Amino acid sequence: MLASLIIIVFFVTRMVGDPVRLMLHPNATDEQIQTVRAKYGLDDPLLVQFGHFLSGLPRGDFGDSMWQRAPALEIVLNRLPATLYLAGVTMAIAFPIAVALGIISAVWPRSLADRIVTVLSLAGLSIADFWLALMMILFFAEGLGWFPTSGFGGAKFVVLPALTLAARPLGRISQIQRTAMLDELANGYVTTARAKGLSERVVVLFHTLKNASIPTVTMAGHEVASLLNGAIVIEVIFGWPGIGSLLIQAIERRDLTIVVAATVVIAALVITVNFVVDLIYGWADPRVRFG
Amino acid sequence: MDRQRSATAAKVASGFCKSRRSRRDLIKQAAALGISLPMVGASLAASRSVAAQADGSIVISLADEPLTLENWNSFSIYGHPILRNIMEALTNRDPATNELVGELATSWERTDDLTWRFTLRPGVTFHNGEPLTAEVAAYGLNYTWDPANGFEILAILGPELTAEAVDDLTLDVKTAEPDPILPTRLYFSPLPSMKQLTEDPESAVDNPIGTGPYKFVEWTRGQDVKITANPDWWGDEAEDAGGAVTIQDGTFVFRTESAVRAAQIVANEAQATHNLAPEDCAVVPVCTSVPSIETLILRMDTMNEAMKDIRVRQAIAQAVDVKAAVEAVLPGSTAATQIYGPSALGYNDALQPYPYDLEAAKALIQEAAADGVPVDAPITLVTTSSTARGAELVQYVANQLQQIGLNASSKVIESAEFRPQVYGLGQDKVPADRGWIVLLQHGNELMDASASIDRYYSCNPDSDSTFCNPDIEKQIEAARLLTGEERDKAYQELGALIQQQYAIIPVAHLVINYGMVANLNWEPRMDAFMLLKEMSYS
Repeated sequence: MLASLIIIVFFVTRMVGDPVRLMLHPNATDEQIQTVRAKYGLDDPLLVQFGHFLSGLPRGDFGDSMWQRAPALEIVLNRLPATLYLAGVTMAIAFPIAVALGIISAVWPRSLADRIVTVLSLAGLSIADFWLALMMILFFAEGLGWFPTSGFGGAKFVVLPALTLAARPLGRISQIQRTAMLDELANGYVTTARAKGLSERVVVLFHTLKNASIPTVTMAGHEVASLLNGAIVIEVIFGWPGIGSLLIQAIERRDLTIVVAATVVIAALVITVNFVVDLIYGWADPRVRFG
Repeated sequence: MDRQRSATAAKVASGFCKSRRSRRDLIKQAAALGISLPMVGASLAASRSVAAQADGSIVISLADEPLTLENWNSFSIYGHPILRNIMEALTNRDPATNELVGELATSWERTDDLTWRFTLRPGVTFHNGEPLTAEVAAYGLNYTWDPANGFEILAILGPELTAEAVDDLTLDVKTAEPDPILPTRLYFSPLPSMKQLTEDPESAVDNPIGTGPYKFVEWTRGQDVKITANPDWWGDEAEDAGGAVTIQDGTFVFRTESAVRAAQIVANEAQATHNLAPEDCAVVPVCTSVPSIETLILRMDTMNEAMKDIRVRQAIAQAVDVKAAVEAVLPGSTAATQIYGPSALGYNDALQPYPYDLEAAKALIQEAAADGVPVDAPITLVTTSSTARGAELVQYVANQLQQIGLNASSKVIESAEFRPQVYGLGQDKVPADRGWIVLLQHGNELMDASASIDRYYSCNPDSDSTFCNPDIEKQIEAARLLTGEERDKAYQELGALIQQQYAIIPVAHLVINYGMVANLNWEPRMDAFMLLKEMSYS
């Protein structure tokens, strides 16, 4: 899958515009354009360029950034920790709260608590992250002064972007958790557990929760993947120096090596996340391991 | 006349709308915007957070991060807010009068039609200890303007030039054609270190070395650029340095969203910012709106079968209510009559915007159609997402053109696609059936009409012009060689003449909104430089 993606990204980025024309002034002569093309190997036939690209891949050599004049992979990897940090904090906020809300909803269906959780989860899903980010800044940073408006630094800088990003996974995961828990609570083994006199807390937390976790983990993995490649808007608004904001700048300037390197790194991360999710399946449901 | 023009520009610049907002004002505005709760919070914070910044440092929030810190990039809005604090040019402008003044040159004169001679300021050293000599200056200018290097400054502020040292502090700069405004062009061309360029040219990308009042410290890409005061700056002991260093350290951070930059000012995380939307400028402690060198224009493909006919172009011009459009979507900006503003030499005060007359426009289209002009040919209003209020404006104009019977539509394209289709094509390379009317933002950095007219009305196939009239071309060539009052008069006449060609509709002279904390003493400049030496805290 990664190989297919690499091939697609390589050829698509070569088809969307001439990076040299963007780099040089609009009235650059053909000679100047050819000189720069030769410098970056862009004057070779496409298949030759692809061959050079493939030969560099095992060494992690995606070529140099045309604008930053440094190895593209190094530039992308420099931005990676900020992206992982933001995604990690976001999920650390969203996942436990979402699971707790989903359980509350499922244990007391159609109650006031259930309705509040449903409304909150729908709001989290449907709210525009762009608008939410600005409101977060206006209220918590500008108004109350609790957090910085934006930027990157200590722990306080991550709170607002992470809270903003947490809205969507919180909504999605809590809904999935609720549905999965309701299904599990209707099963016979739950009735048996209750008949044996186990407390509702034990039934829910020790008998039902683990069995209901497979769809939740699947959704959480999907959300982590989305955070790794879809936090562009939030990174740009908050001035967060992650891969997303780098990618936007690279796309605008057709900095092809960075676009390709960032895409490949993000894809590798998503594949890793999916692999971890598969491992968790095995823990949650032994049938997966033995099947 | 130069002085008169500068005075006019200064007068325009003096129209700054400075506002210090009360808490009550802010609450009212917040309620009007329908987001009263957070905005009230913001206003409370605003009143709390404008405490004096006494540690001698400043954070400036910029809308865009530069892609490179090479000296040539200091002509651009992305580059000069940072670079002109680190690097200096032969000339600069007096921020109060807009008059050209010496910076690294103490005087200059035209020795013949093709040569300007500059006398360099003695005792200037670069941040790496390299002394500024004529040889160093010549190397730097030749590097910056060398066509082989292909730097964008050449396309924007060209044509090319060459420099050579006469003696230690005397520099000759030559051009292939007579260039009466060469010192003005060089104002956007700061001098790099020859030592750096010869020993480690790649380092110029992210380690700028200049002679300026601030030294580069570090650039953390995606986050900030840090500079610190240069203890060896020549200006500390000179009376004509154009400012004084009272702030020790500067940090430039990058926030794309205007609302976020305004929030930084309110929260005192940043002390100055630029390019605020009017609604965001209203909430910062101090909002200053400054006339800029930027003008929005609608450029027609006059080689198109329909727009080749002057009646069609006139109809298009008369179908657009420029004044109403500017008032509606660009508050603070003024309707334009020329593609350069009052700051430019050659600006004609007597000209009026094209009259808005939809019925007359319809009649012109019908007349052209009756004569066989293909008025049903597709016309596309095009802009890019970075153009101020571009999407709204092209939709409005397309709608107006439909009303007069033209087959018009609009589209917004990304800048990477926009640039190669709009700039540097000249008339020959634009497909005749394209039929574009491009809304674009044009900056007259040189503050001289020639910079705009050469670019957008010339027959030069390498220019950005989609218009060519051989008779007017002769007048353009003649005006280019003139100086002083003659030049001013010639360009004023040209302005009146080209207005009657309806090739470009000037839309608006844009203002730039700056936000700052209450205790920062700073008058923003028309050229949008953000020089820390002109700032201080009270």
